[in-house]
Amino acid sequence: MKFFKFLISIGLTLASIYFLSIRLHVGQSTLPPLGKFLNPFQGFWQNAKPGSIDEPEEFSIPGLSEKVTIKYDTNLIPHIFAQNNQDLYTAAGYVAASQRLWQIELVTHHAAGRLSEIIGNKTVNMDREQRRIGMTWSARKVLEEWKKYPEIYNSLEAYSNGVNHYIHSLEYKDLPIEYKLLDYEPENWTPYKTALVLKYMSKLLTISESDIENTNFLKIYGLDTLNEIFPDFAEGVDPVIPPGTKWDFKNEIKPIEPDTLFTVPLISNVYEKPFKGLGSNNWAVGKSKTTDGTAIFANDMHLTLNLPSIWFVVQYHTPEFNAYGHILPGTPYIIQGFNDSIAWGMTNAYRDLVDWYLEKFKDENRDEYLYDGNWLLANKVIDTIKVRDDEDIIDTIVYTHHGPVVYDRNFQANSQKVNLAMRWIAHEPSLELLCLDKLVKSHNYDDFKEAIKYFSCPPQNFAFADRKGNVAMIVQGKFPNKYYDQGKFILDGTTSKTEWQGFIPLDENPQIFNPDRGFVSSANQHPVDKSYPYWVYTNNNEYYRNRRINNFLNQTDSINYKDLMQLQNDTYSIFAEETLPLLLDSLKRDKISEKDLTVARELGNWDYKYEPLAKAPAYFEMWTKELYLIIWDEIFDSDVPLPHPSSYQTVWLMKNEPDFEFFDIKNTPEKETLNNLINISYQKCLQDIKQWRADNPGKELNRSSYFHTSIMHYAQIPQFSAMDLEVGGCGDVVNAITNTHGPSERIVVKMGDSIQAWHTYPGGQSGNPGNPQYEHFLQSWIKGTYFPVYYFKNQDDYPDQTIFSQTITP
Amino acid sequence: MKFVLKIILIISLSYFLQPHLPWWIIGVIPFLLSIIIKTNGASSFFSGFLSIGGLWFYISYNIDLETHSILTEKIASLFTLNNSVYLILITSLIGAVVAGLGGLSGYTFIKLFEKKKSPYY
Repeated sequence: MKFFKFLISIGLTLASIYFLSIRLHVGQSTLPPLGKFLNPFQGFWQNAKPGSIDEPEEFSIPGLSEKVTIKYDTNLIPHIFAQNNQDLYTAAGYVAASQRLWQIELVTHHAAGRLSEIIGNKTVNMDREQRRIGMTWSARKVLEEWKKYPEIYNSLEAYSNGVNHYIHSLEYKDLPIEYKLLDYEPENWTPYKTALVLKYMSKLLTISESDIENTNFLKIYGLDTLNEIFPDFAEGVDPVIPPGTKWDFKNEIKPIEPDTLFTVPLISNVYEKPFKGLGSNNWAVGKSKTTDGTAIFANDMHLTLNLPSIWFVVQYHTPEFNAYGHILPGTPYIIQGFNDSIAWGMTNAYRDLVDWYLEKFKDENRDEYLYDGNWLLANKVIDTIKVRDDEDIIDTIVYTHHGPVVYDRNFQANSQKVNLAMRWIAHEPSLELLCLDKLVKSHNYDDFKEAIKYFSCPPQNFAFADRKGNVAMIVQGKFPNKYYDQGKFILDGTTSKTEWQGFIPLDENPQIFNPDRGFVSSANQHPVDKSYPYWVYTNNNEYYRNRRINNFLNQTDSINYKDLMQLQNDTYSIFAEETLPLLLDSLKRDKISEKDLTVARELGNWDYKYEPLAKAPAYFEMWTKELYLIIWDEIFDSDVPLPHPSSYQTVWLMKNEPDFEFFDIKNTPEKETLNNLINISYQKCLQDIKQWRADNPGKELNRSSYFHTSIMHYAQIPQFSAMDLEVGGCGDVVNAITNTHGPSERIVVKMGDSIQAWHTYPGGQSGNPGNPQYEHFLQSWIKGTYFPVYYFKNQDDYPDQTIFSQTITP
Repeated sequence: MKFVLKIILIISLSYFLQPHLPWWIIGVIPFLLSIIIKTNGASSFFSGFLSIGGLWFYISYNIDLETHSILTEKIASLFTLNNSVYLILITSLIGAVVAGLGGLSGYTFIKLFEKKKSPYY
């Protein structure tokens, strides 16, 4: 009996300890180990912080050569004072890890196709895609290249040392909360992981092409229709380099166009592309146009909005340079910023940098493939994806000399079983880090040009301003020198004639220094006009933001920094200005009831601004969305994926080709005109509004409630996210806030005798949801206000703004 | 008296050991103390239950107060609780039950080695 009692009580004790120590699956969700997680001495409670900084004042990191001092300002921005690069980047690694450890590791797991190790089988397809497009393969290749440049590789090792010192200082109670929730532990940081972070950004910014979709379209509708709907240069665009700029090139090489014909079957599946329309704005106003004759620089980079924020702000001070700016956590270098001489910043320069080669294999084994009449050996890599709480997934990836065969019978299996190999610029080793290392040390335009020539991928429009009042813009990247239409469609993999024939010489990339108009600007539009000697193509040009920015800067003289802040927060839609009058004029008002006309009347009174509480933007979005869908019903009803026309070209066709064949709705017997479509879509829009009101009882329909802009936590945890924000903007306006994307930072820098700067971003320096500064800048970002930058010249500057001082000794 | 002594010992030992040892040490401490300090079954259970329940309540409540519920509210909502007080109570209850069971197990364990007094003498 006594023994029995003992067995019961010890059994109950051990069982409760066991079940409170493991993850429990309840329905769709998984609970963290509750005993461990709720333990107030070590569990999540320890992640709640009363103050914004909880760090030792002094400690040592072996490997440092001299003392490093870090001053944290009131915005939790670290100002790192070091005697050399090694020490600087060791401290930078420690700082980045102490604020953002979970995020930097998650990004590398995502890039490397290892999410399933943490999440389980839900993310297997995402992981497979990353492996297949060669993310890890190219990261390893680039790492080998970096090893040849000790100045960057040593910095990466120093950075790793700093990150790892932080990781090793942690006990369970100190782990970021996400590790506790998902119940896993951080692993050591290596330079390879920094390579993964860069590949992650390259993917985000360069693979939104539509070559396969174009090929399908070409096969169904022919080249003339394709060129009409998807012209390389639409009429009326305002390129980055002002039209009329003369090109004086000496090294120009014309690529040879093959004369072979080649047919491809229709392809029925493609993987999901990153959000199209990710963009950014940058501009720099030269001394001739500003109130006090100093150059003013502005940059806002648009990305998926996440918490913790994609950016982390730092100041780096060594005897060699003193720079301030944005870093991507996981890479040591400042990417966008300024030093005591120059300011620089970028927007994405879209170009078609992914091409697909249709490979012909000898047989089902796919050991050999045909190339110029010979059978070449393919390389096979067996890839294992570890899946949490499940069996490993084994995937065989075949590589030809073009690159990995991404699409085949095993992935996105399409009925044709075609083998498409991917040639992607990010597969080439490159030295962006060398560029960033040189940028912070640049003193003038020549240094700047010398630095950015190492920036290959993702290509960027680099804006420049200096303290002498000069401004410049360079469209920088490693661009394949393509023959006309090369890679717009799937290419024949069996011949060398379709290969990339070298790259556009760096000197011949579009660029301009102190243009006559007194400013430079870019917003992801066409880089150049038709006169540029090389063929330039992307499916992802922007048409509206750039014109709004250029209109403002052209029309305004004596500009000050406040004007530029206002411009960054501008919500005026040129798309609406150019489209809405046509829509309203086409409405058959006599056939619409008085009540149903209220929407049209509200739109008629609209000032075209996407203000947070304005109703018209919501109506306009709903109407144009319906119109777009019925105009391009042929595309959306298709069995195979087809490219999506731009809004710009759609409106151009509406105004200039009212009888265009696509305006007829295909699956109705009668022939619709454009006018019919506008009226039908208005009715559909009224229906949508009704439906929206039924789905959202008691809510007012306006810009904010329609978009419900949300900044999601990386693990999609709503409680760690900022949801349903009351903000203005949309993708086509300068303040390009959509439901999930937008300006991931805003900065304005006045390059006078003394440098003044202001900035904000949708998040905070701390990546800990339990830290009071987790969303520190968010309200200012929403309201369009700015925080002044504390640009330290000496350690003892800004004593009133310094909240914490940390010393790291060797 | 033994009951109070046990509570004091459990609380102070747990307070100093918990930041460094796995969370289930709160089951081990009452287990061992119930072996060393003999009381009855109920007293063994409740000494663990009340001390760790109280200690975990005190610590989590204090953190919640000091940090203006910054994280408690988020985690409570994540666990679909509509008030962060419930999270403090669940935390305390989990600690209390494990510690109580640990104490009871200690008592039943030492009982195994107790010679039964014969009623016939």
